[in-house]
Amino acid sequence: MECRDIENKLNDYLEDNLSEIEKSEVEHHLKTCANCQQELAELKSFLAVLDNDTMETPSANLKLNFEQMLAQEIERHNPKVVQLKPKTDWKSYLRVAASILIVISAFLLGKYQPNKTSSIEKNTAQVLTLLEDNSASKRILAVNNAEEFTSKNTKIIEALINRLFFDKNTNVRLAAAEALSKFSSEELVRDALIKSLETDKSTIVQIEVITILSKIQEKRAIKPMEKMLENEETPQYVKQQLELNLSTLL
Amino acid sequence: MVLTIETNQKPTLKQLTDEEIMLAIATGKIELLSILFDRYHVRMYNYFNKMVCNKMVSEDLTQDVFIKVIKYRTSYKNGNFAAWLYTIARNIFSSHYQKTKKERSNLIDDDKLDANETLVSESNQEELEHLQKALLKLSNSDRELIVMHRFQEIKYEQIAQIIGSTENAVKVKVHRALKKLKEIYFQNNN
Repeated sequence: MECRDIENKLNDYLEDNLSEIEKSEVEHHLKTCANCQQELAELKSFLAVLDNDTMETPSANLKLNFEQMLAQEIERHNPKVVQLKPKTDWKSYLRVAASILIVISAFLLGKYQPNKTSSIEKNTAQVLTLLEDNSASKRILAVNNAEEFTSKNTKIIEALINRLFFDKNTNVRLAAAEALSKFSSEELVRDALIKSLETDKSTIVQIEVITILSKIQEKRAIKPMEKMLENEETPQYVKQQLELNLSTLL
Repeated sequence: MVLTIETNQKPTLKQLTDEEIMLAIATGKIELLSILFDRYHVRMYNYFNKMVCNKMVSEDLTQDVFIKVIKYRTSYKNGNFAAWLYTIARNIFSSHYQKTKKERSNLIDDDKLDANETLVSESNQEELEHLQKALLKLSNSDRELIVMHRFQEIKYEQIAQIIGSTENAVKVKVHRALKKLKEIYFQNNN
């Protein structure tokens, strides 16, 4: 074994890191080699110097600065802890109380204010407006809606009769007649239907009114119906309808 | 993994391994870092002091290590804590070294004088003063190996982990560095 190999092992030899074989090899070499002996002695004293070097203790500032830094970091990473501190701010209570007061007063104000328009009246007004609409389809819709009202609502009935007499559109008059049949218990309606039978020129409306009048067993309709039968201008199919319904009335 | 570095653990502290504590820190228990600080700050400080030979700077750099531990705590993945810590310390030293490169090229002699002064104050340590001089003449990587191996008493296996090498390669490198240092040391002595 060469000196060079031994030299590389001297460290481990001093640190006792070698296997038994390697150790005896080194020791065997050292006995014969003065160079390596000197090398070992040098290394030994040098390592002794190194081992003399003990760790220095840093100043107290290091620990102080660290603790300061750590406290800041903890605060930064756990901001919730800060927020959990009890608040003694009376202003926030005042705010809550004020908002509750506002809600309650708004409720009471709404409750005790007189109801100017009930929902039924509102609907009546809506239907009445629609009955005057320019569009025939909307007027029909309004007439159909008007059926929903009770017979006591004279405003609606009057409006419907108005439609029955004066609407330019046949379909609206037809719908009005149908709607009025629901209020047949009213004298006003019966009169209107009889009058309509005498005046309306549309055969469709005539047939509808004839059917309604026979259904409600209006005896006063017999006279005008017989008059129509005698009238030569009356179309054949209207006459058939008249004959059919007259028999139920008589 | 078993720690190969002796920890100056006080029996009153929690008997947890560095790794267990670091994992707890990673999940948000930052306050536990003070335990690891107590275990490592002296070694970190001495590592830097051997590398830069300046007490003030060494204290600052040691502080930086623990700031980085908090900053990168989530990137710690259950490996050997000491190795991870030394990796951080090495990065801090190398960026400090780069930052002060220009100043140092002008002031290198003053630096050494400063270093001497601190050691001269303790008159019985002539040998150590001489050793420090010799150490400063080594390259950073050689000096670091000697600091880690001889002064910090880190095992070869762990040094290999820290510097990203193999155990045998580290062994050879440490031997060579020691040999160089020894030569410088005796050369100047004579």
